[in-house]
Amino acid sequence: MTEIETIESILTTKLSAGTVFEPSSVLLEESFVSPQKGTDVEEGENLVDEQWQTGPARKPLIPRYPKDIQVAAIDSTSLILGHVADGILGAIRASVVTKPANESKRKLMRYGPYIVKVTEQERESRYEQLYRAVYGVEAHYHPPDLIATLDQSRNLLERYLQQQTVNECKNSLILIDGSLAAAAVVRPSSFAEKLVRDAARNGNSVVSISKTTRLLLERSRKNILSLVEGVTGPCFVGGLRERIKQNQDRYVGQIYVAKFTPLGEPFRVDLPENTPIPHDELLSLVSGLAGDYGYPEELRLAHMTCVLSAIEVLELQSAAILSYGLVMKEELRARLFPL
Amino acid sequence: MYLLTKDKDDLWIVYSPEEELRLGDSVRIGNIVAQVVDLQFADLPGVLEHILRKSLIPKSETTERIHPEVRNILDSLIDQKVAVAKIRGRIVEDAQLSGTRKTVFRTGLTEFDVSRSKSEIQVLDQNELFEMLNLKSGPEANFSKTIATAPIVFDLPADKLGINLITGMKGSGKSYSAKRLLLKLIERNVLTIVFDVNGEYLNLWKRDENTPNEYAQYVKILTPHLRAPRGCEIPLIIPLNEISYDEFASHLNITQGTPTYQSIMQFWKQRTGKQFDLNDLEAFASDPSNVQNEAVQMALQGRVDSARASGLFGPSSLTELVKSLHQSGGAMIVNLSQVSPWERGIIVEFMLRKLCDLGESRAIRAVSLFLEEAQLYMETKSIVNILTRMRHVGVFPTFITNDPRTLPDEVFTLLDNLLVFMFRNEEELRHLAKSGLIDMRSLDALKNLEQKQCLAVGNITSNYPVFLEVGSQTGVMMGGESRKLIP
Repeated sequence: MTEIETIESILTTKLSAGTVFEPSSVLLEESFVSPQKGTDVEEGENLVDEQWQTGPARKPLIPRYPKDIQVAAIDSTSLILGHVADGILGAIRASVVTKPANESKRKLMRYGPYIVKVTEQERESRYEQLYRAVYGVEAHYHPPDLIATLDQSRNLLERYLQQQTVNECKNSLILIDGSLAAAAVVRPSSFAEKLVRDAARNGNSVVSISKTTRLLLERSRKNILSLVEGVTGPCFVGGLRERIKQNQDRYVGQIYVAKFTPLGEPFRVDLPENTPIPHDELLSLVSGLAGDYGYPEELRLAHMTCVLSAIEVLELQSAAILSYGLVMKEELRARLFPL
Repeated sequence: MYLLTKDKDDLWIVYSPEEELRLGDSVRIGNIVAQVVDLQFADLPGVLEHILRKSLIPKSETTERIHPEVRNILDSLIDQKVAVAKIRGRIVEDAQLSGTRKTVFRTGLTEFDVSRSKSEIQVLDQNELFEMLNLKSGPEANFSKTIATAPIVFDLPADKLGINLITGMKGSGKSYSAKRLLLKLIERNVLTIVFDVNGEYLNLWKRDENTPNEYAQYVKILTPHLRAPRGCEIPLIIPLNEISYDEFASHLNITQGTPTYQSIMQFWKQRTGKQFDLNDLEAFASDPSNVQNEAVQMALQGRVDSARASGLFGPSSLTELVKSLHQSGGAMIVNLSQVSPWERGIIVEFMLRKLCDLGESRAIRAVSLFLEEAQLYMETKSIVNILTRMRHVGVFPTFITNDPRTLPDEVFTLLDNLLVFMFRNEEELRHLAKSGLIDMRSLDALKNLEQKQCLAVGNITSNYPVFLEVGSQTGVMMGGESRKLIP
């Protein structure tokens, strides 16, 4: 597998000294700067048949804390630090949080922040390079714009770390953010299959958790997350993949909607078919990890430790200027209309 | 360094971790001179959330892959500092009589011509500052060094000592510094009388337990009830005619209004303005023409015997000793550590009267007087007397206390110099502000001082507050005669 150093060197090509840099405005009053999200190209909209004979089969969940199982969670973030000629300067950071079996304290492996340059001239070639390094095949898709390129670069780093985690961990619960859609336009169809296959070989159970989904109930056009609305306790609804109307083969494993705590939010959960732990039990274990808003604590920590605070964004802007010898440009509007 | 804001007479200066600023540093911004009195973090919005997030997983459990150039800058923002600097005055070019111009320091600030973006902030070289303040500090000076990024040596100018206060909490180094000042005064041929209530100055003449030091010939310890001289220690004897009949009666437990008391009073009144001693009192008591009642005679004889046994009364050579040490310079340590509170009062009053008489008669020009914890042996009116009257006869008092609240307000209003060591108590700090020599914010800085570090302000520093660290004295036993529970 490609070494992380290769990924890092592709992500962080240096800028030439004297490049003019216009930093994005940062409000220190805002604790965190919103991550930059590109157009959602992971997974298109799809419909789910809702012709249940007696309504959707909601099963109660009995939370069980996975004390004797290692848990790993991966998340990443990206944002724009500012603009350079013909492009943007962004930052990407990823976190892998691990709770070893029979231990209560967690470990954090953090990657970055990496200062990433995305320009019109090189965005396609850089993306292709990164894609090849992560997936080992030629890219058949190119993000449509600079922001999407930055976001997809982040996505590639996250996929790389997911793959690395399933390779390195044994008999673990591996929590990833997002869906397990196999044949998304942004990645080769083989990736998800390889991920779950490698995970199973090491005795790992991959649990893919999405806060949002584009799967809609066919008749009501409501989001499938509505299936657990109004239910008082932790519960889940399964068997949704078979009900997807189109391109079922684009999805890997089974699709569930679950609420992990009584007052928590509903989530879409994708579970591969061949998990070492049965699905019902797996969902109970995730429910045992659920903290605020019913979101698994390890995944929340992975998110919290990778997002960039306003202070860090200012520091990264300074690092960009100092390390690359950039020349700072004030915003023209601010100069013309200072008040 | 950047100027953030001005709040009354405080300047807030933002500086990065790479830049160095220290408590006591003086900075120059344009022509303004300000002194750093507090150092703190620049409190940025969002810092709490930033740190809380970092604390989610302990540092020890975190591994990071991060490029060195990014790592160097990450977290630099939360380490930005703010220095609070008190405006002390400004630098002006002053025309000299010779026609040349000299850079001098002036207090006050009537204009504020500085720019946040353009004005350069630089740490003022202490030699340059002292030159502007007309403070000379030669390389041979070893009393102290300044507390600053680039410290220099500083000697207390003895010629500028007036009414002085050395204060600080117990263990802060005030007594040590007072002793160093005393030795400096000896070197400058000044006579200092010390009221040593805790026996802290008794070893100053020793190099070690068995060897006298270079100061030994200039140090005399006056110990009450001592039978014979012993090294530098000599008996402190008070001539009977130097105390009042009331003081004598109280000392020997003679109740007021009794026939014995009446006889004592009669004896004293008959001899007003004359010299007399215990032999005279004995003769008076045994003469039936003076005391007819045999019981009163016996009572008086008993008191004479007791007074004689105490060794406190008798002919004194104190005047000659004062005159002699006044010529050579030296220290007279009045050992009050083992006498009763009543005796302390008599001894101190006697000593002060003696100094006053010698000053008034111009037998002595000037002496320095160290009063350790004066409240333990002096009434407020006596302290005020020292401040208002005795200074005119050449007695320059230095009060040494760990609680400035025990001193009357007059000390603070008339104070010439203040040497203040560490205090943690707000009330004591507020009390010191009464002197008007120093502001409350600067006094707050004292909470952060280490042992033997102090703030000096007054005539000795041309009224510019100077943070000092008092140096160590070699060849002198600086410790007193304190005993330890476990040796």
